[in-house]
Amino acid sequence: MLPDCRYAMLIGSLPPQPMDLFGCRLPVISRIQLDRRLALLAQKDAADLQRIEGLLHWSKMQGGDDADIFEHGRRELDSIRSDFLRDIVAWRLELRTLLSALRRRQAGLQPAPGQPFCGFGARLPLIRHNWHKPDFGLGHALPWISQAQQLMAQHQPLALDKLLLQLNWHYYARLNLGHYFDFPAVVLYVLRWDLIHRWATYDGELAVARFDELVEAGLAAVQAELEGTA
Amino acid sequence: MAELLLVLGWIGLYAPMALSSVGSVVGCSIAGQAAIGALLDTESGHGRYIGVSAMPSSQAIFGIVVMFTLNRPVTAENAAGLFSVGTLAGLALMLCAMYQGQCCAAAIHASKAKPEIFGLSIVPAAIVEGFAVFAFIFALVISGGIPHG
Repeated sequence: MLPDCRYAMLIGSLPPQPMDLFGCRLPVISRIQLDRRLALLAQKDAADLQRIEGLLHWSKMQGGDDADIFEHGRRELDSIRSDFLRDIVAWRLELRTLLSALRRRQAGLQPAPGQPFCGFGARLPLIRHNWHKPDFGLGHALPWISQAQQLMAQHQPLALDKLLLQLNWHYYARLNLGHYFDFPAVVLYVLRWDLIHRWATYDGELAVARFDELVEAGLAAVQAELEGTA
Repeated sequence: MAELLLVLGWIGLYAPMALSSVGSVVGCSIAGQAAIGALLDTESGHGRYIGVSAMPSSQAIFGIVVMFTLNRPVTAENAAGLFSVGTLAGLALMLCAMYQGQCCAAAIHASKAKPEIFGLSIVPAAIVEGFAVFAFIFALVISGGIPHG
């Protein structure tokens, strides 16, 4: 009978997030301040949040080959205690799986013969079966996929990223409607914070510098090989 | 059977006070936590947050008044009436206080972002209070029909 409002103080201490993701120039709270507030979480909830961020935050993901990542991801996903939160993470991982399939096909790759397409979600056999279709036959269930495929074909990575950020933003906003002062509300706040942070820290110059760095690092091995053979 | 009736009668006598206090504790705790959280995030308007967080305490006062109104020597004739009116009024007040606490917490959270909606944001909490007042008034009215022993 008691309402679950354990985190009324924590939610109350967080500044409200804006309605529009792309209108934000900066997150409304710094990560340091956010982490201080998140110290109010119960130990088990904090561990769950860490798992969720570990699965969804690129910088916190563990390296390794595809099989290791999937195995680790499935294990971590299963260890999240709440069905609601598990579904949120699974949704995002499935979205990434679909995007990865689109990118692979764009690059002219085929799924490994005799094996299901690697990834998360219940649509893996469909992706493999409908590899030749632009939207993998999922256009009715997932209208965004056709748009994403078109943007990818037109080489518009920024527009594609905006589409995906917007998709996530609306998804989290919709889920947030049923949760106000409980743990899922905290998790959704943090996930939305991640989206704002990602959008606010996009920087063209930094991206070019990073790209140059990666190219140099990639060419360094080739250079060393050439020098060795010369 | 008569003894059981008497026990129920005594429970009904104290139930409005006990149940409404439980509800007020939960409601004030929820709204109070939200108010403390808001204090961390705002530079002004602290007094009104604390004021709103005390709103669910009114149900405990209603419960005390209902208890005193029902107070009379418990007999086999009036025990069933005391139990029914006291327990049901207490339950209604308890739930009103709990959910009013959530309304107050939401009002504090919303008015923190938009101070200009503070007045409007406490209207839902006032509506919940209205239902508590209904339960309170009708408990007072109907208690007049319970024999005085």
